[in-house]
Amino acid sequence: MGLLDVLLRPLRSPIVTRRYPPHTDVPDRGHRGTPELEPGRCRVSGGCAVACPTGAIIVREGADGTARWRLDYGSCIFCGRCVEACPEEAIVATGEFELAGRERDDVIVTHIVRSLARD
Amino acid sequence: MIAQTKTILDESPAITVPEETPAPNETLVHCRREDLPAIAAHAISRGAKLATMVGLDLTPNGGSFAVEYVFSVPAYDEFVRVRAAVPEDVREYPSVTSVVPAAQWYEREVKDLLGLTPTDHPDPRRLVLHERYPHGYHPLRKDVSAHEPPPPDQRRYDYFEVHGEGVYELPVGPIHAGIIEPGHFRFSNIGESILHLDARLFYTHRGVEKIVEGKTFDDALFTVERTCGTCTVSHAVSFAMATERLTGTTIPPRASSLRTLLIELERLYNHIGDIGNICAGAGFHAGSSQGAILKERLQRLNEELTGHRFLMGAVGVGGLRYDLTAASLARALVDLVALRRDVEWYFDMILDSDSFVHRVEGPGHLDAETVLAFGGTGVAARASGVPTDYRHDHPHFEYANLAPQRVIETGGDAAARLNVRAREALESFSLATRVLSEMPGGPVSVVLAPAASGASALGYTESPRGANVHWLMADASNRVYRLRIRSASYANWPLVTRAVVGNVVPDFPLINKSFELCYACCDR
Repeated sequence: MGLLDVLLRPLRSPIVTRRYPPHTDVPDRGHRGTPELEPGRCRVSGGCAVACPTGAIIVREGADGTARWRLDYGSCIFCGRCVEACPEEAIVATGEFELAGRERDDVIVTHIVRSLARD
Repeated sequence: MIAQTKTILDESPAITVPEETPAPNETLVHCRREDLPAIAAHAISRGAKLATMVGLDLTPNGGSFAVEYVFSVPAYDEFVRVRAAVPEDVREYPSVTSVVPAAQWYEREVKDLLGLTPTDHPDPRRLVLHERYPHGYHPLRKDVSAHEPPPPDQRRYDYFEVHGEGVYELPVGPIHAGIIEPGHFRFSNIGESILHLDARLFYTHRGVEKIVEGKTFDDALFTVERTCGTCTVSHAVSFAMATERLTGTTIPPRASSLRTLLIELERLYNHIGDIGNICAGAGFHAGSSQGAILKERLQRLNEELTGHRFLMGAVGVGGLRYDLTAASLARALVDLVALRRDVEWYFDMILDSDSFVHRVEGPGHLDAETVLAFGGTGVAARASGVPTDYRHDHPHFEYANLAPQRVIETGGDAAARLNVRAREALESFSLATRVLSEMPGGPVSVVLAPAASGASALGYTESPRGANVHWLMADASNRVYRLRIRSASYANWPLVTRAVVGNVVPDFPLINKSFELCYACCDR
């Protein structure tokens, strides 16, 4: 193998870089992205908040039978523990990975969920 | 009590009856602190190696402070742990560094973090806590809160100075031109030759060992896994293994096989990325680009298997947190065959390039005596002819069955470290393929039994950079009382400062990349 091979063989290696954008909506196969809540399925068990190792999820019950579910992606480490902990399977791990925002609040998601535990 | 270590201990001066430990290959003995240097010297003379050293604050339970030296006895797959109490009113113990130089950093760290002073230490400067931390602040003491930052201080750090005609100092870092972690290198040179290097690390001390105290093992794992970005599996597995040995838990066969697979995949992407970096350090751009391409393909395989490019999240206490899908494991087997072929071609390409090979031969020479004296581990030790590898010395998971080939080079220079990585990477392909094709079924985790209060155990793996040793003690409520993380980089950094002596300054990037040590593993 000589210098010529060093020059020519790399031409046959696969290209691993990709255009970005426009292929923003296709995560890599297997990618574990952001957890997202489907508010209608939540029964406010609080399991996700207990399971979260970084305290990124806070669930606060209000007096009027509703609860505030708050997830701070700034603290989330995408471990997927909340997904496993939810008895209602209301949280799903998505392939989403584009989280940049202009302000701190842009990476905080809040849902008002009905606290059926009180019904 | 284990027969082989008994002979080492029987001949040692003034040692108590061995105490029961949860793990079968560990022996814990207590001694008077004034006997520590004699016992340490004796253990080393009988072939033991310092695996880690821990400072302990046992005062909340009515005890005292303590220091514990952990020795690995590779010939018998055993660990000897020698603990000495340090009274609260004295807070001093005799340093063993002058007889066992490998202890130098550990003793300085215990002084910074617990305020226990090793008397007669040859280099009593601060190590972990820089001068911004006030005098008398020792965060690992139990009465210090992790949530209250100390008032900032500003003192002077004394670098080692070389005086004489024509000697000049060259400061490099802590902020570097590339994407590198912070570290300050103070060279004393004469002409182009390096006379002495003083390396200052630990710039971003995070208090990982402090913040996991009081956490459940499950919660602590997420923090421990993030100790560093490139040895995540090794750290997570070492910690999980310590919890399992502490509680006498055996993990299921499938978990054992999958952990072995993850450890080898971590070694693969690191070794190949490191070889690419050595090419960059030698100015061989075809080599560094091809290395980056191969590393990227390996990391995509990591992501497909575990959902994470750096393999985070898969390892759990008691096994794995989730099973890897059959489809992804089958694809991994196919991908690894193709990757191996391309990696073999890549190694041929760089190792047949005469100008590159001549460039890496010679710089950063390290002899076996220095490696042994300073407790070197991993690739750096094996490239200097020191046959240390925890996969052989302390076989864990599937390594007893797999019996990986021992890779030893004797050159001791940058080329030897590159060759060890290249040969080990090919062996890792074989190991990963074998584990994949013999993958047992069944569950991937078990629930741990409760740990006894005050019990302690080790967890260890051979990471891409060498032995990663975690020392764990449980409290009364089954949580972390004390964790000491000894990464391979921590053991090997002192070697870098010796390997550069006598070389020219422009070779430093190449020599440093041939070790490719981690800064975050020190900045715990």
